Amino acid sequence: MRRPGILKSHAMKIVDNLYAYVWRGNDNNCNSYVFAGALNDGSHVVIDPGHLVTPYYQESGLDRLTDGMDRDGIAGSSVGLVILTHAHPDHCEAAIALREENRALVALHEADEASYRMLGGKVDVYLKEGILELGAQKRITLQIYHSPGHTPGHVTIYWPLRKVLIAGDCIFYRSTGRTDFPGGDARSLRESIDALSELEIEYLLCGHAYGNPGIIKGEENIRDNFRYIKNFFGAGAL
Amino acid sequence: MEEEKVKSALELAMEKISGLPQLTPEEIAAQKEREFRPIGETLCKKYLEGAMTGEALPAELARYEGEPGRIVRRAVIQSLCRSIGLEDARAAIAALAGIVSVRSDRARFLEEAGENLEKIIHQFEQEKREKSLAFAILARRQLESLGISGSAVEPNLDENAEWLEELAAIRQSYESSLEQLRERLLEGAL
Repeated sequence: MRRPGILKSHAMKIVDNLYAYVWRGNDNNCNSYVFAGALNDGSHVVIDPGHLVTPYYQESGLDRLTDGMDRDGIAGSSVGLVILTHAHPDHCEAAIALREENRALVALHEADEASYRMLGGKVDVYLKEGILELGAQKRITLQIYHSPGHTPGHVTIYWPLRKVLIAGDCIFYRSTGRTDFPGGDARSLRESIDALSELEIEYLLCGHAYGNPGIIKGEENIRDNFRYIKNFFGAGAL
Repeated sequence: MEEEKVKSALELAMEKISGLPQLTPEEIAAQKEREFRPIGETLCKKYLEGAMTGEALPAELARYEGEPGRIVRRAVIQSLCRSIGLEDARAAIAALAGIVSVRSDRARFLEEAGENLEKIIHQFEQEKREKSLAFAILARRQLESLGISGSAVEPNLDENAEWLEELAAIRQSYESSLEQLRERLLEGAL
């Protein structure tokens, strides 16, 4: 069923079959990322589908995403797996509908499960630090990092082959995720960011379009962003 | 003219109830049951929640004598027996220990019952563990067939309908043995 107030999202192909859907609404909602046709049956993997409908302006979140996917020739109705970086509603709410309506599986770190359950969500796959392989023939090998701080079970997703980091709400352009929500921890966030800063990253894909679309390209720009944030830490910001 | 006597409130109340039929022994017993059973149930709850030790239970029961004492004790034992379940071995053992502390005169009988209880729970846990491992392997294979694999992946069996069905069947197969044990415990401890 369509939800009211649909907005077009800003879609872009990042690399290979990885697409970004940048949230351009008035309300708070996350950016979503899609590995198109990554599973064996050709279904897609969505990372952080966001809100079903945003809480204040009632903007459609999920329909915005699936319409954007449809425009890119990626059937929005064919989502096989939803990976949640964490269990805040602006990232995970639509996963409940995708599981119920599309029979998509939902993957989340166990430490965020209680929060997700409170929203009515169910987890099919626990994600822990390690390797996640998607697909059999055109296999995509991802590294899942447990990156707590914003939430206890926050994960980030690294694609070494293409040097892509999907950072959720761990790190943004010139900023970091908040640590004042329940379960947030500034020290853990700092350690998570320190660990991620060691990676070779060509595309830093953030959970929100704060300050820029949330997509930072180029190794030097990304190093500069990490440096800026670490200086901020040094000033006792966290 | 004879002066009318002013009656006290008590006299008026006694006059009113004198017209009511007397309670039968069964009704009196039922009334006592209603009055004292909740006390026993509350004692059991406090004990199981850790708000009261096993040693404190007999002392609490000693505060009630005669028929009320028997009702409270029976309620404690029945509630403890009812709380013995398969899912929480520690709570089941604690419940049995509570019965032992109330009926120390039946220590030998309760010791045997305890051994049986541990055996049932151990077998249940073992079967559950073995079958859950098998189901986890199956769930992993199903995920692999979809194209989801790797060391980061851990299937959540609690949302796996086939496993939940199997678990209910395992539980059911042990539930009848446990029910028999509960009945024997009640017979022996009351």
